[in-house]
Amino acid sequence: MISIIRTNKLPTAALLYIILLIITGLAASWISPYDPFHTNHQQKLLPPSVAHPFGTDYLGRDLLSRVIHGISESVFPVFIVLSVVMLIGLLVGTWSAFLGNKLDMLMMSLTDIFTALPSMLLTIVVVGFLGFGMENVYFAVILSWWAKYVRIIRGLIHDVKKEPYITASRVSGAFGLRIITRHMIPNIMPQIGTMLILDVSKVILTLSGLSFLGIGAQPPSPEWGVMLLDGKNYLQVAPWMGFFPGFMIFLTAASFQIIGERLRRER
Amino acid sequence: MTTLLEVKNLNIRNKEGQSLVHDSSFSLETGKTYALIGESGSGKTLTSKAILDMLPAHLQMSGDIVLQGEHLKQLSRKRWRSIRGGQVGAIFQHPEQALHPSIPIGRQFVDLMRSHLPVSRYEAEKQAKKMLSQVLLKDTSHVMSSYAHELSGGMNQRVMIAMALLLKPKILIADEPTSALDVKTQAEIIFLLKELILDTDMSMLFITHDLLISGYLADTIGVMREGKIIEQGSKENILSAPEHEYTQELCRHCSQRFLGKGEIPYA
Amino acid sequence: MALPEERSEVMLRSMIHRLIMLVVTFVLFSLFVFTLMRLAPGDPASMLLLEIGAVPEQSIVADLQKQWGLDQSFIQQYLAWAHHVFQGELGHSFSSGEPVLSEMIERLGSTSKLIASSFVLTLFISIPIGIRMGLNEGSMADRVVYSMTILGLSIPLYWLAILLMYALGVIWPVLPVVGSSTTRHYILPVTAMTLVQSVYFIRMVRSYTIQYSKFSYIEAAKARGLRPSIFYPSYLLRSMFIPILTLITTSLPSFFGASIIIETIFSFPGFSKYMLEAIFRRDFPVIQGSALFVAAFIFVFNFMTDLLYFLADPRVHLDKQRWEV
Repeated sequence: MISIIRTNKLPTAALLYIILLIITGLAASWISPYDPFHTNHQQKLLPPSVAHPFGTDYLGRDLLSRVIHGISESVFPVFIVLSVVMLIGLLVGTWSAFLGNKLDMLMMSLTDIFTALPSMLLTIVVVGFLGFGMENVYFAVILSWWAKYVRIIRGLIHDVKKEPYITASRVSGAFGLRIITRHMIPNIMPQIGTMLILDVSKVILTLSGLSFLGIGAQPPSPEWGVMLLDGKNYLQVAPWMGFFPGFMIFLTAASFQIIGERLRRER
Repeated sequence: MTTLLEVKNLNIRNKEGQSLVHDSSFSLETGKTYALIGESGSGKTLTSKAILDMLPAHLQMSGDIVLQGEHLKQLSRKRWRSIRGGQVGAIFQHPEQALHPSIPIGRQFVDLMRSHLPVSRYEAEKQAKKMLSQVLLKDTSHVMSSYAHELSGGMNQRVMIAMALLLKPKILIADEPTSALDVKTQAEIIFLLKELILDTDMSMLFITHDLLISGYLADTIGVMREGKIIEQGSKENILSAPEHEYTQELCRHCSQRFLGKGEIPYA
Repeated sequence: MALPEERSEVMLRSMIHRLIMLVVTFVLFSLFVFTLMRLAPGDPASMLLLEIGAVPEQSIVADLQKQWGLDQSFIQQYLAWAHHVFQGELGHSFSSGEPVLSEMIERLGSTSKLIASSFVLTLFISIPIGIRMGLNEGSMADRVVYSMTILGLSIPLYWLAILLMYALGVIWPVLPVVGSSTTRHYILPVTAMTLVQSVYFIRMVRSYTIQYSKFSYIEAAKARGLRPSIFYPSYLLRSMFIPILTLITTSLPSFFGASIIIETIFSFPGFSKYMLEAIFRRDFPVIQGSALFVAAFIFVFNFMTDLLYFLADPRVHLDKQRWEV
């Protein structure tokens, strides 16, 4: 164990950071020094200090507290979204891998559409017509990502299908749902897991980006993208407003990226 | 009877310091064939790559390789390039993979010749066709204008040999050139090789795991195991009276029809 | 054995196949857009009545619905709508009243300049660096660059743009940060976009180079002592042409997404910003029109690169789909 840590200093550090982040996010109400929504016009636009390590924003709110509360807005939803994507990918991808030729081709054309289109485009269309609100945003993000996983899982299942023990079980008639769930899916999970971790980083960037554009989380939410939007407007007078939320997004995304890269190197 | 190639105390190490090839020495004389025998992973391919200075970047080599009096370690990049192909030819196990899939065969011959000699395209093509007929390929024009995937495995094998011998190198390195072929084609190629080297008085380093083929082609045999040459000597000595336990094992697994005569019992 | 005549026959057949796929995917997408539009909350008839201050009485609503064809079946409505759309009739903007098509075309200029220059710059930077690093895998420079790419992929474009804005627009105000009137206005936006995209491209090109140099036919070509001036362009790069083309095609969507962010941050009056703002104004015709336009562009672009594939590598059998190769 110690030797693993020693040869993987950076990924271990990243993992520790993530764990700390999650704990902080869950315990936000207890850990955060101030109320993230509490405005105080006497204290507005203060640079970082001991009392306010990240400074305050234009409404006098403590940035550190807002960042802490932002964890559950910027990071946790990503896990949920990707879990849904993974589920859809597993269900549809596995099902598609067992379809006949024509149906498979139809499914592939369908996924082709969604992988070729920019996720921004899909998001604009969905939010534009169905309205604002986080459910629609999450729906749009899921819509952008499901096709990628369906394709990959379908491909992986196809490969696993060719394994001798699967062929043997099909011949002997023992093939069924059990084989799929007990053998094939666990077989591909490591690869899917690594992809998911790498994608966490991308989706964090995407979701915060959407909030930054005004789609998704709205002020006064302490979501990091929203905070960045405020920061942009006060760039000249209070650059720390724009620096810290962005830095948190970067740090978090980078940590997942580092862990994911390390896992990928394992194969 | 001059020594064309001398390998002295060749050591190949990887990043962790493990020795993949350990203190190997052998030499190659004009017109003679040296067969390097071993299982996969014994280090034989690495040895051949070292002679061509084509080891993967993460491996380190020490020891001396002397080619026609030149110490290869001291050679410039330019000199290396003229040696490869010009003085040392190489053929490999899978011909289709040795030939570029998107470039017509004829063009690859021309590129090869014009990389080493100041000849016109027309002249290069002429030489190429001559070589192709020497390896017993009919309809040379068709071969010249085809892509590798349009020809059969046996034909590609011959193309590869023609390409390796185009510039009349002094040494031919053959790394398991017949392991992927069916028995009949294997025999044809082996006979072809034997004739060609007899015609041109070429030396050959033949790498294989097949003792029988070595018996037919080689003058000297070296047995490699786990990076070390555990035994080497003239063909007759090795095959009829192997000293090392491992060599004895190998010989025992040979066909019982082999009686130390040096003939391959193909139909 | 495919003779030249057979080869062109295969190519023609594949082209037609791809063309059909192009049309099918576009139709499917238009169906998707139409469906979402119909799912939009709020009944258009009542909404219109409310807007003009009238009471949405059942009979009047029904009348309007009939007028607009809203009482017909879904398929009929779709077909009627599609009929207009495919003739280029994209309606009029709710907010400005102008035809969507002309508004879009007005703004395409700046956005395409932004994306095109960024794209070209990205390729210019990333391909040489990526290849260099790939060929020297494991070297000091390579490891440094590789670690930088891991971080680089995690930097949010919008944060980077803000940092650049601050550094070069506030601290040291040399470059304009708003608008798109002069070429100088393009410098920061293009820089931001190029930096972020280059990181990804360098990573991919490097990985392709490593992968492709290990191919035995590349190693064999090297073993033959081919001249560098022949080896690099004709042998190594030729085999990498397809993956790089794929890279270009699959990264085009991300340029679009990036342009939305960049145009917003830098108040750059382009097509992408126009499309984004339509959401806030609930300007349905604009959303629909620009979405279809972008989709059409991407689909056609993909089609054309597919054709290039066959020219580059005669082994590619285009009746196999992209996911089968």
